[in-house]
Amino acid sequence: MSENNKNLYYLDELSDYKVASDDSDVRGWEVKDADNRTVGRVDGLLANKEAKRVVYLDIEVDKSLIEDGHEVYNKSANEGTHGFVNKDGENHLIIPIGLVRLDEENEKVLTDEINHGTFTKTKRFSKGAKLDRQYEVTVFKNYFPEKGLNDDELEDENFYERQEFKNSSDNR
Amino acid sequence: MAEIKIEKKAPIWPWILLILVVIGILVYLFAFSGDEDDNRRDDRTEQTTEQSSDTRQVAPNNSTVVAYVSFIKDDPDQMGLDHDFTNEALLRLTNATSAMADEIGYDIQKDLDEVRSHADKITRDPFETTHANSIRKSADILSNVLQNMQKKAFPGLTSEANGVKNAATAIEPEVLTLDQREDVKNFFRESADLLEKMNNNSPQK
Repeated sequence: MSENNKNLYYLDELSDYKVASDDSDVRGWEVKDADNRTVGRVDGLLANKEAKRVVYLDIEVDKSLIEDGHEVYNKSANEGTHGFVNKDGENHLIIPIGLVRLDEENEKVLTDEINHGTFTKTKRFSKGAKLDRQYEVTVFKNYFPEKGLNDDELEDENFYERQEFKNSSDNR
Repeated sequence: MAEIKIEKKAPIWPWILLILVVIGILVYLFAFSGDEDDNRRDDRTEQTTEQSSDTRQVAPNNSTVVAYVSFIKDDPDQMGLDHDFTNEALLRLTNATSAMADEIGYDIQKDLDEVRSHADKITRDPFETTHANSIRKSADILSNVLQNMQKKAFPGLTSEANGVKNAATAIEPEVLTLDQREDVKNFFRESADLLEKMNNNSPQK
């Protein structure tokens, strides 16, 4: 991760850390959207070292989502709503942990609040690419278009304390 | 919604430390009991060597024995007036017998000491008329020893051992040595013959 000031790391990078024994290591689990369509599989866990918990899931997206994304892009580009294009090979996206629910029995990650259309319009990146704050902002605004988020808030040390990154039972 | 906590992995250095301590203890124990181990290993090596010679049936081929056999067979007419030959032949035979006894693990030291004292007598008093007596006594002892060794380790050489015994008996104690030169020589020849065969055959242990 490039922005280490937020203590955001792939768990794989933290050789001295592991998923807590009481929690599930969801890497490899299938991710379903609100429409129960496949988004992809969890490829990595992005953790906040200070808070000692995972804040994003890194998802390797399903081919069907990429193909659907092309159609959405062609349509929406004409409408001028997007400022980016997902290129070939960019097949990863992140989901804030607060947006998912874990079906531990079936080893599935469920995103009840984000539908298929939203995922197709989400900015993606290539595996291993550096994730900067701008990307986080872009994704955040994509998932929560109704919530205004300025750069100051992103600079806030307590950014990951927002409910989008926390277990809903703690905050709601 | 979901929450996935992370936690520090258990540090690995206590395990490394433990392993190092265990290795240290093992090294200490091995070093401490190293001498015993070496001895035991030596014993095992010896046993193995013995076992392998058992299985491979190696003939002793002892150089002292070969030297005696050569001495007797190469110069059959050497025995003259001087008693050096008799003495040397006796000593060489004694040494050869001793060497062969060692080869088969047979203790004859006491007998051989007696023979050596008789051999000494022969050279110390060259004009003493009882030489034949000393030679006879030595021959008796040596033929007995050789026969015992033959019975112990070379059961196939019975007739040769008897030959030595008979040759020893043929030496008469009361007759001057020079008068029974052939008998004395014969005893040495028979002994050489037996020892040579022992030397070229595999002993049974």
